[in-house]
Amino acid sequence: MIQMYGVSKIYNSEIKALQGINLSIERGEFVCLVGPSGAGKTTMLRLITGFEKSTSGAIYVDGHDMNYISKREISLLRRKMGFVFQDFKLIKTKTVFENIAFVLKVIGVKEQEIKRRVADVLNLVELLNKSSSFPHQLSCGEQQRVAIARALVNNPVLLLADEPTGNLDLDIAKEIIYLLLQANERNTTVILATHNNHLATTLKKRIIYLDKGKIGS
Amino acid sequence: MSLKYLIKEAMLNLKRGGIASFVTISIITISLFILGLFFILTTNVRAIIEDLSSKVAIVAYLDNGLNKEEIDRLKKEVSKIKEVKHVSYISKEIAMERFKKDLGEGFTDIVETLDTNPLPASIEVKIKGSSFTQEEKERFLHLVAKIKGLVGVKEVDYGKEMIDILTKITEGLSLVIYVIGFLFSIGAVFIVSNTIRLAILSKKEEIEIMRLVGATPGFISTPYLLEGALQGLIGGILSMGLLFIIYKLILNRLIFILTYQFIFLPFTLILGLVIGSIIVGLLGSLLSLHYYLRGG
Repeated sequence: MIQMYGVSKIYNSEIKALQGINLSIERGEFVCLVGPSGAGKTTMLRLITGFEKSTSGAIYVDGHDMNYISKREISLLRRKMGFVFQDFKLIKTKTVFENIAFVLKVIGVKEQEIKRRVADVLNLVELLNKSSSFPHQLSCGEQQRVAIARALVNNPVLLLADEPTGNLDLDIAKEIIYLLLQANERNTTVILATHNNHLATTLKKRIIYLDKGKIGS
Repeated sequence: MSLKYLIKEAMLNLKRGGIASFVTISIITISLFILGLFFILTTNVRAIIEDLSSKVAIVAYLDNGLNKEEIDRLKKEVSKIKEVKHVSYISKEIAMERFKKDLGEGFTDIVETLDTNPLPASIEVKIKGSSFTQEEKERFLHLVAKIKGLVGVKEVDYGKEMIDILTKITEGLSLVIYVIGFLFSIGAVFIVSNTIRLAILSKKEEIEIMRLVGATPGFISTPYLLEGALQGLIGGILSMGLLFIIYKLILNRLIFILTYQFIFLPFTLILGLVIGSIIVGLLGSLLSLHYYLRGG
């Protein structure tokens, strides 16, 4: 699914966010990316999504060489991915339904089909009754569940979660993690970036430690 | 990406934009209103000058003893000249009547004592209304010379001082109008495009989310472009409406004070301002979207 060979990312020719990263993540894996803030977790996810290009080294995502991918191909690749962030990143002017439906509109799914699939995924995160609410009318936990619903509506092959539980109470955090595990059971590759080592170890999944831009153990 | 989706999206953005949309449209409306007000003033100043110009007449005094045929031939010849609007013949008798009228009651007996009518017959030539630029003044003087040169015309009279003043005013005003109009227009373009640009800049996060879920730049930008154009259109229409209300309520009523009927902007100018506003709105959106979407 993802291969990195000697990947480095240096900002403003001095800040070394990532250095000499080699790793391989297989299809269907659940991987925790653990490290303190500033370790390079977000940078690594941004390289995978194509929002940033590496300074050196090669990255392959679903067979695409991310250093030589066209804008159009990036858009198409992102449609196979799902994203969940600490700050949810919902569009404030769109309702819950519209936030999720947007992902499907982008790929030209028919209106009827959109309604069905959004309802399905809202059902999964137990938010069907909030479908016409705006993000600011929801609690943090609910907003994060909407974000997960948005990430899953597309049946992504890869789900990237950047500190998805950072803003949430323990109980709600567990629900979110449960949703990620469920997605993984349906064969979606999941990368969960977190600073919470305890959370990662209880999951009993593969852990990649990152510290100061390098892979540790 | 259907047209229905795009239009719906643009309208929804505008509606949910709330205060931000309101402020953007207000700023566009106000700047176009000021520009429009300036155009109304200049349109009317021009109209006043043209009105004055149309009152300019050339009086050609005729030789004594011309017969009717000769007078008719002269009239026809003058009528044929392109710039001439109207030609009328003033006989010696009519000239005397007018003279008496000008003198007023009580003084007419002075004239009664005359044995013969000393006033010459004449033809009055009205020219087509236009503003007097230097170029048009020269054309006018050329016309005067032409009439003076006709057989049967003894002398020619026209309001020389009036023409000089009109020319000076026209030339001076034209310069002022062009310079201020240019500055005002540039100002309006900057304000409108920048306001819309700022409106889009505030949607930075929204745009990033759209990119994240794999929307192509075209899919993301088209609703925003439409929204910008729509804001331009609404601002344009509102400003023209506001101008028309101001015109009806105030300017139109000044006729009692100024004895001049203000005219509203010509339709082509209204259309131009509204279309201009749409284009500037589009450009404003385009510039800021380009900034966001140039990276992958």
